[in-house]
Amino acid sequence: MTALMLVTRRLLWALIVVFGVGSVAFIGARQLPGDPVRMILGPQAQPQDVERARKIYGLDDDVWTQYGRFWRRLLHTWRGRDNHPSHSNCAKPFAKVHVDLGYSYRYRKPVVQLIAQRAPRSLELAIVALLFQALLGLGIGIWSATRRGSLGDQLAIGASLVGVSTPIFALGLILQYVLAHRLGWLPHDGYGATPAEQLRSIILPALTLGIFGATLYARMSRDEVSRTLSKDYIRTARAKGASPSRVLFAHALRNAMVPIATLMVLDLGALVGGAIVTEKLFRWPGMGAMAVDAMINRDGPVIFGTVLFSAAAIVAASLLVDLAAIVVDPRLRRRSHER
Amino acid sequence: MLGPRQRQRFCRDPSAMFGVALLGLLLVFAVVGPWLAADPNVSHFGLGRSPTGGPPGPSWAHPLGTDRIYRDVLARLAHGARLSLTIAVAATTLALTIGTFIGVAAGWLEGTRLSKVDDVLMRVVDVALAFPYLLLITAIGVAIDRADATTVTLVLGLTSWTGVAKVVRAKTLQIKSQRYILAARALGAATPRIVYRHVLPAVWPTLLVIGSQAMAMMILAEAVLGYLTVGIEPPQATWGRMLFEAESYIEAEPLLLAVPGLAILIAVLGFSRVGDGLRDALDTQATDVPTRWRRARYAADLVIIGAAFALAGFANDGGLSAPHASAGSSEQPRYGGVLRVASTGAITELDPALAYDEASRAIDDLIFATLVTWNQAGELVPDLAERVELSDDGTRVSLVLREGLRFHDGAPLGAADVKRSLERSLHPRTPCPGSHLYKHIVGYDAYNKDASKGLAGIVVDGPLALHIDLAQPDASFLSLLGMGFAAPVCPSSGTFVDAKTPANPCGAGPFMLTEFVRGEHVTVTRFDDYHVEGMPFLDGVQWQLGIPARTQHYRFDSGQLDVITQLHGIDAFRYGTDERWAAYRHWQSRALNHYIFLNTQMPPFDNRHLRRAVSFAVDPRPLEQIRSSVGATTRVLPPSVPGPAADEPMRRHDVQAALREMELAGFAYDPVSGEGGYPDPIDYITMPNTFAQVSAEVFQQQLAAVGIRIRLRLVAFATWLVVISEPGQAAMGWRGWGADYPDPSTFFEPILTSSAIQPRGTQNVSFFSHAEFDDVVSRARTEADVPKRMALYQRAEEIVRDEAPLVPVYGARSLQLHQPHVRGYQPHPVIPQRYRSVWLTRGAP
Repeated sequence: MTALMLVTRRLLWALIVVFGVGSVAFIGARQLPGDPVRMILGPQAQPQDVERARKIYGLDDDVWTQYGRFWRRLLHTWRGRDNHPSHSNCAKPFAKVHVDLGYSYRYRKPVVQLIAQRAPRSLELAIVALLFQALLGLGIGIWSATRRGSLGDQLAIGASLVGVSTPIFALGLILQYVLAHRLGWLPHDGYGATPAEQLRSIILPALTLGIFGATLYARMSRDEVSRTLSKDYIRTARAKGASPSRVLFAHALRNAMVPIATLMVLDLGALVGGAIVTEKLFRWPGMGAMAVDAMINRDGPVIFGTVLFSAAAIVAASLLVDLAAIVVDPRLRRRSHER
Repeated sequence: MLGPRQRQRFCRDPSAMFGVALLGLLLVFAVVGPWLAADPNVSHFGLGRSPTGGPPGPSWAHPLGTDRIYRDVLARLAHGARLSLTIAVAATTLALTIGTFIGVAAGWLEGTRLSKVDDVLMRVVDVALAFPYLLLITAIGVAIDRADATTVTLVLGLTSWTGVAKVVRAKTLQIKSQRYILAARALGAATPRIVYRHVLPAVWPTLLVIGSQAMAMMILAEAVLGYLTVGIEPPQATWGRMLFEAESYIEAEPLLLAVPGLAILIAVLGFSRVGDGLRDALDTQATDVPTRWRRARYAADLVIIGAAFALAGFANDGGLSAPHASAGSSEQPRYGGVLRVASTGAITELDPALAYDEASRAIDDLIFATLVTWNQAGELVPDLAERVELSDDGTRVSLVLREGLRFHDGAPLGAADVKRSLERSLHPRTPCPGSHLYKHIVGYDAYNKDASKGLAGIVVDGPLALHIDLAQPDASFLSLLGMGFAAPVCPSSGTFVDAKTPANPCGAGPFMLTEFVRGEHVTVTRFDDYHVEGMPFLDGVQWQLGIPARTQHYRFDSGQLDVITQLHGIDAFRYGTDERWAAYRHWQSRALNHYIFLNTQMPPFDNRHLRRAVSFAVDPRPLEQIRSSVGATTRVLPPSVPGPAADEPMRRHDVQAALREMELAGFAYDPVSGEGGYPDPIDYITMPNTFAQVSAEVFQQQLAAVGIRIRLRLVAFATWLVVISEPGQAAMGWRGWGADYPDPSTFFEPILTSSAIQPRGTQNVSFFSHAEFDDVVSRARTEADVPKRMALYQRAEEIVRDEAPLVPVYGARSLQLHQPHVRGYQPHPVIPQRYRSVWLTRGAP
């Protein structure tokens, strides 16, 4: 088996995983008790009016009809007019290729448009949160590794433990109360209207995610760095007169970065799909907040749209990590040859 | 498990021993605490409120204070320890078992003839990892239907085995290639034997380390799960539940948040330190972890725990800020300025033919004018219409419009536009939620089948005159003309509402829509041709949507909002009692009541005496102590809806009477011995994290005192809505109902008459069918004489009291605050918020 075949195989599996997640989500979402029509019309709507609206919204088909239609429409080609009404829900990434995830009657928009609008915002938050997470985690980790065993090391690692022992909603609430309300340094929540506001608004949710996630980074980087610091080649570098900072950053950290970078890619995949609690708490208009609202309102198309998207992001991230490993690590290729 | 040398190393690690000590302490607390502490599920309403308006704080009898429904916090902490730790242990065991099984199987079969199994198992892991957590836990919760300790354990266990599987697989692969395994195989040992004797023991240390870390994670995950509404069934306490129930008390009673927070911190620290100790003890590579390091770790733990306690002790109430000084002091209304308002609802619909909730009604009141409306006294007065007459037999409404009316788009507004707008709302292709309210208009059914000929009952008599014919007299029809469904809309709005692309809201109200981002915000600006001379004063209104009550309060406090109407109970109390805010607040009684419904068509409440027992046993008055915005009630109609005189309470709280009814029902109960009563627990359906749940926990205690044991069944709003409206699905639970317009008919008819029972989606969730009641209510509908009509509704209230299909429990009022620069604001009796005559002293910013 060549490397190319291995990659193809891995890609095929990724598609199957996404298909599996999508199917389970579709059937699962349809089986949830609740009536999407009533959720649009309101709790005091007249029963006769609910039944009429159900037909208007086309939600009276059975699950399997809708399931079939969903996969058929997901990716299709269309050679007719571009503005044909039966393709008004589609995104057109390439000339004749359409992607259709259905229509949300709650937002009165095609789901592809909703995702196109929300996903970049989740991506922004994910990147800034990862930045905080990595800076905080690596900072604590390196600081600890260079004075391994001291009280300072243990305090830093212990403090990062406090970060994870606070449930994320409580952590967010406290940060919001202190930083935004009592001190007034940051906006309470929301996305912000101008770029300057957006820059300030992203700090609170990103910090919440960052503090929560930093612990793992701190522990990993401390272990990795202090392990490499005790290696022979570091001793050699030191003996040849390299400065302590050069030893740390040019030699020790470079090796420690491989597992940390892997972790970051995986985290990015998970966060792009939306950080449910944090986005909701800070009204960050990303995928996570939309997924929660869709669940609450039983907004079917948005549920599988968001599920499919976040599953694809997670699978893509782990695919990336695996492929990078195949490229980097010749042993993996050799092992497949033997099969 | 551990070898002697490893055990010795573990025992010499002060930090690990500190972890063991912390866990030991918790274990003792969990085992012994519940025996010593008070009953965790009993409210002590005899204690007064604390000065902050929250529940009573620490005292000798309650050393850690009481929670939001006046239950002893220490007792709940002790019982919570038991439950939280049990769940953590059980869920971890489950995750480890599944993970080990799959990991060993996949690892062992990798590279053999059955390597496909490995592939498939690993892809299952991928699917599980890629599956969104929220959907998964909700789906599991729904599948099992009841959130109890088992469900939560299953959910936690089933969502966290994937990591274990990956690690164990890697470990198995590593062991498999060892020489002694090859030797065992060569000697002909069977696979199960090799796995049991060689692989599992080698995996075991790894599992111990993962397990102790996972334990800490599980305690946290349970807390988050409760936050996502799949928690343990109340009134049982877990630390997570205690933590998120304290959410709204973060300012007033920080201790409520600090107590469970510290407990979780100690547990996490304990489990982590034991995990670290195990890892150090088992790690053969790092043989010599200097003792000095471990001492430092131990010292650090002490510092951290000390700091956390100190922080919790110093947390204090920040207090409310004073009203922001007002710039101008003139009492003459002045023009200009933009009013900034917010609501919790993430409104996605403003079209008056589709919108049907409180917040959108308040926003539509700015954009749309109606033919008739309600004045500050709650009386119907003409608005767009100049004259409105109801014929003597009550079947014809004649209307004459004002002259010179215009829509926002400049088009003139005449009688034909009124007909067109009503036909648009009632059009069979418009998904209007309230179309059926207008069913008495002549020709309604025919129009619903074929819309091409128009609605026969609405006849245009001239450019400004029209009349509406009704198939039967209707004393409340004029109120229907005041609702948004009947509001005239611009000609550009179409003949029906296209469900996919509704037109932009456009009407004849005081403000024009400038921007509407669904679920985010609405902006409106002054309409210069508004028909009321000189109105409105404001240049516009900015309305933020979907802002939680907590941040609305933060924003109002810092001056970013001009008006606030939705406050947490505790914040409402603080503003409501603060002297500095006395001139800037109003209490508005809302035309909305809350009830316990009892399903009269299914056991056990097909037994009338059992229903009456519930109605006598329930006492909503303590709820007023929990939340100042709640008013106990005994009537179907809220006080703000004009109805029969309500001087006397309709029902009394009487435990003896309830016990007598229990006896008559055949379930005699002896409160002293606790024997008898209804034998099985009864499910009470309501929604998690709402005041309805809080009230249910109080009623649960009161009903237990007469021998009716209820279990709370907490479900999402969407689920609640369908479950209660299907026959034979829910025996009892919470329900609320709000007035469409201020008239008794909008309460009695849809929720209690037999004609409201529908095969699907009924609003009569008590499935109450009572001939005299039906007769009284339908006679009241056509009765034009007000005193006679009210006498009929008084009879209806009595029937509800005696038959008890619904037990009215509480109504709500809301505290409405405005900044000092906001003038001319009065709470409106019908429209949730009306800003038509508001002005700002500081004008345009």
